Amino acid sequence: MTLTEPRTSGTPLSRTFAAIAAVGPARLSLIVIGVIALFMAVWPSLFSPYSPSAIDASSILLSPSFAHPLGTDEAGADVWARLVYSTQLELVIAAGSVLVALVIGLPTGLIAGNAGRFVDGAFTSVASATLAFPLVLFAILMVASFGTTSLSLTVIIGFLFFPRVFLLMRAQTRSLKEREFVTALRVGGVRPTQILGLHVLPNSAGPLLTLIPTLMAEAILIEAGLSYLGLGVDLPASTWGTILEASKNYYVTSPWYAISAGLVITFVAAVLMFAGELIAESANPMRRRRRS
Amino acid sequence: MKIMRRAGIEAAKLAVVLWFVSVFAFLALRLTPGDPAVLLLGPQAGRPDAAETLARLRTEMGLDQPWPVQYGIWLGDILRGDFGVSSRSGVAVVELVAGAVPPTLFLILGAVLIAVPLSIIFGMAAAYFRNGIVDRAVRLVTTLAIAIPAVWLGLFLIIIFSVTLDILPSGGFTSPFDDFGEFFIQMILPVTTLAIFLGGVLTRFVYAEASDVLRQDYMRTALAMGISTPRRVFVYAMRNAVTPMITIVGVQIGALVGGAVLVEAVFGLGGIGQLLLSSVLNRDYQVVQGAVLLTTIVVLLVGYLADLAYRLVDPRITE
Repeated sequence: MTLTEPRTSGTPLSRTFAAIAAVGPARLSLIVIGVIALFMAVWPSLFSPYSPSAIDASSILLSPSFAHPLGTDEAGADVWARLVYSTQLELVIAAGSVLVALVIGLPTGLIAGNAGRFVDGAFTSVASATLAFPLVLFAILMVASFGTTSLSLTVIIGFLFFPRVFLLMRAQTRSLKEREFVTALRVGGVRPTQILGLHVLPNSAGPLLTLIPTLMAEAILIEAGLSYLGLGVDLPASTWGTILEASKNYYVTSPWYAISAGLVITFVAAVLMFAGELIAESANPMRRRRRS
Repeated sequence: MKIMRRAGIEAAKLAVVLWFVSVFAFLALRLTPGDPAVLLLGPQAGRPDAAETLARLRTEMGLDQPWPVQYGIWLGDILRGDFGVSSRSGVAVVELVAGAVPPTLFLILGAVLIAVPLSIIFGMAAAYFRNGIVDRAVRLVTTLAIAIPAVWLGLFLIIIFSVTLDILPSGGFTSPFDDFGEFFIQMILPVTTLAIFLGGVLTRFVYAEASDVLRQDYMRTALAMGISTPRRVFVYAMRNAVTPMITIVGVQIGALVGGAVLVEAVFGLGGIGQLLLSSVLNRDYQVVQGAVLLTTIVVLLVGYLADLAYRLVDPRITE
């Protein structure tokens, strides 16, 4: 019996198109959006000719026009430029907080899932205690206490997320531990640390990859909420949240200003959530939708 | 009898969580940049003759004691219901928070009243017509409902209904016992904002539960017995799909309160959110800490009660 060879007929170009078509429109658009977002974060000047910190008394709070598609802010800077130039910090905070959650949650989850009752119980109760906090309220308390730098925001949001990673990793470890291939490895004399690092962790990648974009979306939303309460990053740094916060004073005269900041946040958060769902579906064949 | 034992175990867990919360809250306030005595004294602390007053204040507040002792004193005060005083107005924090509870509470109740029935209907319908147009539409709308920042949705509704159409007030709060009509009109926009967020969360949950329940053997049996579709879906399936919602509301109460705090800050309802907003602006950390701590305690207690209620309703849950 031979495996079916991938079709190699056609020109390289048509093969490329066929490969792209196989990815599907949903995945494809997510990938394109992701690439654009990355470019915006790294080379914002490609996307806007204006400086985000321009102060121009002659163009304060202008309505959207051809020159300024989203209008201008209270200092006369282009709103689109400000949003573009804030992408980097926004994504760094979102990805950074997920990274913090992973750094705390992964090792502790692996240990708890593998350890005896006592260690497991201690770790799990810390995680469920943290999970029980009303997220936003605790973020308010922590950020108010530790200061409004992008680093403290990232670490605090990341810490509040760690139980989600922990509980997932612990459940994965516990269920994988009982599988035959892990027993075989153990019988074969492979060291426990190696089993956990080289076999249990990679086998948990699917559920983890689902969680990461979801948490990034939540981080962006929490950051927006905190910024609205005046707990966003300090000037001159700026995120989508702080732009939204600044716009709230001008919604009567310049509604476009407030609307555009929120639209960007909503769009990116929704895209991240859809990405999480798509990953969940492809990682877990049981959840694929075209089934019945 | 089992439930009583369970209640005891859960209460012990709750006590541990509350203790964690207290340590966090204590550390957060102590790690706040600045000397608490200076903060309490306000602008007068800068005067040259203030050193003596500051020293006396520090002794009074126990700041010259080691941290564990300070924590003990602080915890003792908390347990007696003393959450400190506002460094701005000198009013007791408990009083400030108590005064701010009604708007927040009405906001949450209103959102729950609207979001729960709607999410049951849409979640069940989407699960029944799985992969159909209703399913897709519901999934798209619920994802958007969760992805929209609540503060912005509030602003957006104000821009449309208060600024452009000028048919609804953009904020304010009147007690329903004074003027119910005014109260109702003022609550429409804030409650809608919060209900959209909560509805998104709950609909997705009902959808997931109902998708499982509709595939169970007893549902096929009901179909074979010729029981009508509405009866199967809204009586037999719903009962099992919706019961776990009690826990979800319990678990989500934290997110709900967090959302309510933000929404209400947007609409200026004078609730916990606005209290936090102004305290953060005034660097009145004692109030921030007290408000967060009190709200957290209430949230945890509600979660505990929801968990117990679920165990009473569904006796299969023993673990």
